[in-house]
Amino acid sequence: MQTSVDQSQLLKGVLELAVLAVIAQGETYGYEILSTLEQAGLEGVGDASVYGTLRRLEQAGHLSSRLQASDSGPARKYYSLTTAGRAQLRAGTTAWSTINDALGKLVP
Amino acid sequence: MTHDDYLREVKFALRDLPWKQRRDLLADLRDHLAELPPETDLVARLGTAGHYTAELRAAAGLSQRRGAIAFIRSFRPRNLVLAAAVLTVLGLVIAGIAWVDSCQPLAFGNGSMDTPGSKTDVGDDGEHVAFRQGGPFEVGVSVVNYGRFTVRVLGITGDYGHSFSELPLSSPHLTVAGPIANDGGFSGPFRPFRPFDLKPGQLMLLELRGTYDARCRPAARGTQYFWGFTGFQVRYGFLWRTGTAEVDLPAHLSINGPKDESCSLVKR
Repeated sequence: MQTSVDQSQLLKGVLELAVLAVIAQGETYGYEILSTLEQAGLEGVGDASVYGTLRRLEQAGHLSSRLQASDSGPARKYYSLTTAGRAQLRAGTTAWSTINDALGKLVP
Repeated sequence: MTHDDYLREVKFALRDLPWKQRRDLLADLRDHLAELPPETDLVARLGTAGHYTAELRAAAGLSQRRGAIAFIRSFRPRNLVLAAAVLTVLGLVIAGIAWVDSCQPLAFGNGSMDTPGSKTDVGDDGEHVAFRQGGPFEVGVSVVNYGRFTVRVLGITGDYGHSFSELPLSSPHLTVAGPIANDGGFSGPFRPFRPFDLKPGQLMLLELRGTYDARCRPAARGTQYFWGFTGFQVRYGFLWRTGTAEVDLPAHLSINGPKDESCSLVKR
């Protein structure tokens, strides 16, 4: 349980980057983003955290969204990166690489 | 817990947020719930509604909002406009009712007692009019509508303290003449009174007629009966309301009772 908490704390710092990275692969919607994160091994991230992050990124102009009718239920909200979002992703990737390199030297 | 129950609890927990923001967040959650497998335990998956909203606020950077402006913004704009419209209409209705209830558009125009056969004498203390016992009695008052709306004059009921039935008259009856134009022109003879509409600016003459019938009654020496008038009460109707307008006489009118042999003296 403690491991899970620690992971979720770590994830909070990089969740924005992870979400941007998932959306960069192609236009997608909230539940699919969650599933992709889980399949990638990022378990423990709360559903509300993902939707809250999407909301914040969209408000900041990093994401654009559109509604599309779904065969299986209500219309889905599809997200895609804006130019600002792509720039944010590049900046985040660079920052993450720097941290990763530094931690690689510190953590055995 | 059903989806609706969960949505309701989250909605309550987000009640401080502006309506549009709350609507968007709830729409996201509604879509998300629709994607989950039907057998999903919502609390196990998402946490309690309180936990979910706390996490959502933290991730989206939404702080708790307080104050009057936040309270107003938490309502749907359409509902706010509707509430404002309802309150405005309600206020206008209340103001209208209060105005109608307070409206008193009648004023007294003048008074006259020029009955044929009566004797008028101007003394130091005013004008004395002596009616003859058994002779005609006439007291006329004019009523003017100085308001902006037509009112219905229902009759003259008496003065402030007396009813006309107390006057020493036999066969009393009310007559009416007019309207009288602003230039003083008079139209029409006196006719039996019936309630009538008095238009703005219009002036009508009301005259109480009868036979003066003050019988000398025994009285202790030095005492005297009298009927005093300082004004008249005019009954009128305005929209749904009927009221009484108290219109003052320009001078006090007293009809004096027996003192000695001259028991039918009117002074004004």
